[in-house]
Amino acid sequence: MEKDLLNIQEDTHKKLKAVKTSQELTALYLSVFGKSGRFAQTAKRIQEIPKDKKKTIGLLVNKVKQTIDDSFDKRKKELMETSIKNKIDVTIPAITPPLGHLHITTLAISEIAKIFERIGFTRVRYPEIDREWYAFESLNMPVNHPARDDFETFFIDAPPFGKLGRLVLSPHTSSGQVREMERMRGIPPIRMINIAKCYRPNWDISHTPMFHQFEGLVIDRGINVTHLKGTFEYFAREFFGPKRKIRLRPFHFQFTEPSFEVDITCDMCGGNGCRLCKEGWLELGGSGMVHPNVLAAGKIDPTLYTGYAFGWGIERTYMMKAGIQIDDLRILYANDIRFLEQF
Amino acid sequence: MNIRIPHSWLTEYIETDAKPQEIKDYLSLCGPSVERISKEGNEFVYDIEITSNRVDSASVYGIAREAAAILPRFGKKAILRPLPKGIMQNQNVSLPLSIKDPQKLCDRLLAVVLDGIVVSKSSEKITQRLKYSGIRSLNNVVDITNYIMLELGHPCHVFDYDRIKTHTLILRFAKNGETLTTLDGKVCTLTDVDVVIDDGTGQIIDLPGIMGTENSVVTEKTKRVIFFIESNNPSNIRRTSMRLSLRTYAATLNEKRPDPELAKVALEYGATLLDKETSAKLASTLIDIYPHPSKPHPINISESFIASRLGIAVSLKEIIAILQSLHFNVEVNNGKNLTVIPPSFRQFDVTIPEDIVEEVARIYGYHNLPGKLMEGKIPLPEAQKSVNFDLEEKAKTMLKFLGFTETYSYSFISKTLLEKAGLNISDHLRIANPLTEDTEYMRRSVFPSLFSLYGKNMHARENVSLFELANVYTRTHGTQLPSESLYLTLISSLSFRAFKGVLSALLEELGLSDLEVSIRSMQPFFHPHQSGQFVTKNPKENIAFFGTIHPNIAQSFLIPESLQIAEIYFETVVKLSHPTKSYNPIPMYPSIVENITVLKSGDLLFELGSILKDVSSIDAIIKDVTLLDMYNEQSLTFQIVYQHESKNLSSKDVLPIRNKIIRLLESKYQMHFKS
Repeated sequence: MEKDLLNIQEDTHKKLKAVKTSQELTALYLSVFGKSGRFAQTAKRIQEIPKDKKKTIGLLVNKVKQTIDDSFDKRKKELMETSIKNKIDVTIPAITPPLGHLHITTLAISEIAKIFERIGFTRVRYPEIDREWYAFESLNMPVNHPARDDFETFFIDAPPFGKLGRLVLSPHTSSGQVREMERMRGIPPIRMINIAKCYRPNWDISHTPMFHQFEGLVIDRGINVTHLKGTFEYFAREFFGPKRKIRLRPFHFQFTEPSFEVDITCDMCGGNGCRLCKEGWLELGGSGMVHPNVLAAGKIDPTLYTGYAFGWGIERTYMMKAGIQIDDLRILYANDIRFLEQF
Repeated sequence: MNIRIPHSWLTEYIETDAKPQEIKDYLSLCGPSVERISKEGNEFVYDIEITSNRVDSASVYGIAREAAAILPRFGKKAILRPLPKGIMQNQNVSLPLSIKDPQKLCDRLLAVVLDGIVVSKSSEKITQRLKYSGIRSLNNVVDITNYIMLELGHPCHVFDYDRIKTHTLILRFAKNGETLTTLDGKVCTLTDVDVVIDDGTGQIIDLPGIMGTENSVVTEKTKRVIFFIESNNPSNIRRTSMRLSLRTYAATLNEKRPDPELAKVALEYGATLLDKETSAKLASTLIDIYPHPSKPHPINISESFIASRLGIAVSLKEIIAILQSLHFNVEVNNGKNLTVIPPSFRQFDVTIPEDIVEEVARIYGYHNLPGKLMEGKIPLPEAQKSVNFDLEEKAKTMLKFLGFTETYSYSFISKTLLEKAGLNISDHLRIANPLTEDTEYMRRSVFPSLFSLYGKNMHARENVSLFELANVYTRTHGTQLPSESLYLTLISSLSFRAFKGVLSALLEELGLSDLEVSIRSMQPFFHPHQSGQFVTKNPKENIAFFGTIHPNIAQSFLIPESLQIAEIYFETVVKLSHPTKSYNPIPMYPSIVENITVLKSGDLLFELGSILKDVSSIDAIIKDVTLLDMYNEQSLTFQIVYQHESKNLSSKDVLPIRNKIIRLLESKYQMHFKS
């Protein structure tokens, strides 16, 4: 037994030298002192030792245990000192997980949608290819209205269908106005935000034949111009920040009366006038009080209910945010990865 | 349209102490938008946007009239001077002139002959003013017509009386294929919806309201003219001028329907000016064909109606003052109801009570209205079926974090691209009026766009993974709208396994956890032996196709044959998604994990999917089986996780199961166990 104990001691010493990590150290410790470890098993045998030798062996057991313990402590300290000295150059280039990019239009849409959802607007989606009735007639734009010309709207090569007319690529999200009134069965209140692709036959530095609009429609009893103004002030504050100011200018749209153009102070020049803006103001988009003919088209009684509506370009609005000046809008849908990766 | 007006011309009609900058700011807030002021020499020139309903303000006088109503609201003096009165003196001579409009193509026709013209250069004042307004000076006669148009807002025209031998003007529709040569030498081919003037011999001598013709226009030799003003049908003007690309100043005014009452004012004033500038004298009776003189309709409105639309109360006194400042005739009934008659120059634009609200509101000033949010009930409508914006955003965001970049490509597809992708052109919705070849068809698949984009971008980056979430468009039968379906389409340079992993993780996160993969998809664009399909188990519905691109397609688009592609049907995802997770108690007893390596013998075809499924179903204590490693497609290492729900497992429990696994692999799949 003496020999066994000393063997364990020597053996453990050897093994300790080879230990490189604290996990290995723990494992070795358990293999020696654990319940079924070598030392524990050997020490058990003291029962079998004759009485006269028991004391000597007992002392040896304690001594060996002490010695091994000490060497464990020593090795532990050594390991700690080594690991504390281990250096990593923290300026080494990182290995990043693959990271893609969302399109700037998606970023704009989700930011805008959230702002309106916070004040009770419900987001909806309506057909991109719709009938003339929804795109024009129901919006108080009669057959000879200029917006219905071939050079303002794309038409699908298909036969017309009764009073609903031809198929068009919706030139604005306003086509969803009467669709939403129908969905609500002509019963206000309505607070809709409709964000969708729109199409118009223009293709130049500031136009793409496909673009996106967000359309707001609010209908209830007692809705008036101050609500429209309050909503835009809220939106401008949330989206552009508290420093930018808005103004309403009289304008003309067939489906609203009164109609307004909404302007916001230019961020580049702080409203003093520069190359980008019109004397300090940038046009956000059109809006107005829903025309009674439009309410009637949606089976809502214009003598009981009033409403306001607006339809603005997603791309245009996002470009007016600080920091994003894109000279040529066509780059948005050219999908050059060197552009896409910037967002 | 935009018009340009020099400050000195404007102040001929309005006496004001407002500075140009103030005029710009105040007009923009309450009336026509002054977009810019430019300084040209000693002159300030306003650049003003005119909306299509306000042709009455598209002139020097029209802006002066607006300014007279608006500037006093800002504490500025503004007194409108009266319109110039023309003098039509009785003439001694009476040259023959006949004007006929049998089809009633014009609301009003006015004409007079003037004699004794001396064609020369215009005075410096007129030349300068035209120049500031963006019109080039030609000669004193033509310049006068433009000058009147700018000053009053009604286009007018002069013919050389002697070049029209018949002295007759007949309005008629053109015949299909008939041609005319404009005064600037452009030959136009007409159709039967274009209105022309015929001299009675079948010869066209004018394209009224748009542009004169070469054969009747004033020349240096002209001695006598027909001074002619007509009120055209605005939609005819627009249609013809757009189709023939003759977007003249006159056409852009005439398509907005100027006031027919103004036509006469313009004629009388013009005749006077022609006398002054060209020494012309009246030489015929005045012809004025005006079968239905305009009569603005009265509109009834109340104080409370205006308040309900504006959100604030404006006093009756102020309402009346505002409307009168805009030349509306106002009558008060019972102390609070108004009967309002618009002036003739607003008769087509102001027709309903809401129009009156707009007039009161803009002059009162939108900047004087408070802003507040809606107070009523928040509507909580049912969500639209098959639309889930949150799930869309989740899918996009997740793909971004899995290394994919989002594209937005046009919904259009060209014939060239359709052919390149081997698609049938006749299946596609066609645009009747495409802008270019690129916008001729509506796409039924996003793949062709992504194949092109991959090709475009693969030289810029070594690895490219793209996705797009967009509608595709399919013809439907009968009168239904074409169907629009939302597809999530992907293309990637990842390996097959890595790409499949992206899709599995994505679909699971979108709430589709229990999907099966079925093997063969004979989908176009996909490699027939390297593609599959994600299907839900119950009910069996197709969620996505995925796999390697078809080598023919890869070749056709010059992109790598190893590319992985997928098409996920997002509406089905939305329909079957169960995003809510369910809770299972955490296991009480530890699991035993072991690896089993086997060698495949020969070339026997097998599917890993079915091996894993078979192994998993051997015993209930097998909680998980995964393919840990595959070497040379010969040596396969499976990792098996054993776990019991109600006890600690020992090696004695596991051994028989393990032997069953090995036996299965050896007997059914002819594999050798590697101990």
